Amino acid sequence: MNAMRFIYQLIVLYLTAHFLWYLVREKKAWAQASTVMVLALFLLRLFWIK
Amino acid sequence: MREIKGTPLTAGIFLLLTAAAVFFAGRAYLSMHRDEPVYPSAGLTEIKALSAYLPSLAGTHGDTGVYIFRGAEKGGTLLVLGGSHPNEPAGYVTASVLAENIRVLQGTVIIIPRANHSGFSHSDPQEGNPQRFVIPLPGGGAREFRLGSRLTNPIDQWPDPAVYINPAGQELSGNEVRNLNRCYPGREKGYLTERIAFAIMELIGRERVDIGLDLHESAPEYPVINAIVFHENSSELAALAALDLQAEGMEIRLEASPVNLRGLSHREWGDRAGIKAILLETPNASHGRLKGQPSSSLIVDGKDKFYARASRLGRLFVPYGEEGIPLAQRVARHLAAVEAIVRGLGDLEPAKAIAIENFPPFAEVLEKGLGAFLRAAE
Repeated sequence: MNAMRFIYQLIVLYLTAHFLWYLVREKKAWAQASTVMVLALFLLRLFWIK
Repeated sequence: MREIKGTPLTAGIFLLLTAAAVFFAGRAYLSMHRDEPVYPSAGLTEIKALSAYLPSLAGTHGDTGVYIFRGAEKGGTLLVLGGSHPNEPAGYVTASVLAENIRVLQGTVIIIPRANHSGFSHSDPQEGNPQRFVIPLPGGGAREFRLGSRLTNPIDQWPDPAVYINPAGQELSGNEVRNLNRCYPGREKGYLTERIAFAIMELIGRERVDIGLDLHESAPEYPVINAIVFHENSSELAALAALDLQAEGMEIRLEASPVNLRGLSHREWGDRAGIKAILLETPNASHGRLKGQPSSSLIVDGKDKFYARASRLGRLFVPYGEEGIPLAQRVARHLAAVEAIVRGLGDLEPAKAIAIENFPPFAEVLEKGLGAFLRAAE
């Protein structure tokens, strides 16, 4: 793994953690739905699938 | 919209849904990494990995199979590349058809069906292209091929530079760093795509290749189409092949490789390796901007009402009727052109003659369909 990819994945991991934290604290279900739609893309990127 | 209260329970439900979506999407994306098989003919002498010519490719998605067919008699050596651009199916299907049928009597034929192997593992973003297309076989069953991307998968090579200066010194837009046909003559320790190009140049040198053919497709609105693009060292050969094809009723253009357009196979193979270098183009509607809905049948049947209309309006560089231009016809054109070029090489330089048996004939491919020249899964 090169340094660039490592840093990139750290950033994606940081943002993914924020999304998860926001998701459990959010009081509106529709906002939670919007969050997981973005989260799905971040997870695909985090696992280096797409 | 009615407000629904968000709770840890709803968060959990959404998370489960996301996990399912990621699982199924991830599985579909990862399935693009599985190579469709090539079933080489009994005439195959040897299969090598491209990494045999550049060890640093081993274990990467840039490594790919090299199918070598050696004849008993001495002659010339032909290199055929399919899949330089994995979104141009006629190129790599032709290479597969050749590998599954030919027997070389004189000289050597080297076939790389998936030149940019990484490019097959993803599709072009925002195009809505299908991941695969299917070619039915006459005895039942079918062969499936992936429709990849013009460029190397960013999973394998990332990030792109803002401006790419290729190994031949040409300035290009950044994403061309992942375009194999802009990366020649390659760099030994460069980006993955440059290393693939470098390995192909190494192969050309070590296997003493005399002539290289790079099989492509282009959009019907693109002027370089139904064409033989030739390096100036191959002009006589290209003209002879074009005359041969035209005598058989096949219209084909001759396009000289521009001297200032650097990094392409038909330029750098000729300049750097000194071999005869030719690129072939067929028309592919699924590749173009004017097409309707992308689909597997658009790739295989080639029927598109918008292209038919554009043709009636005189906007295309190739006749395009309601019947479309099916994949079988595009592959048959490539096969006929390869055969004419091989014949021409033997006429011009008898010491470099290549004799090939079981070469799928143009008329038979059209009549029987592509499936008749692809082997059933073993």
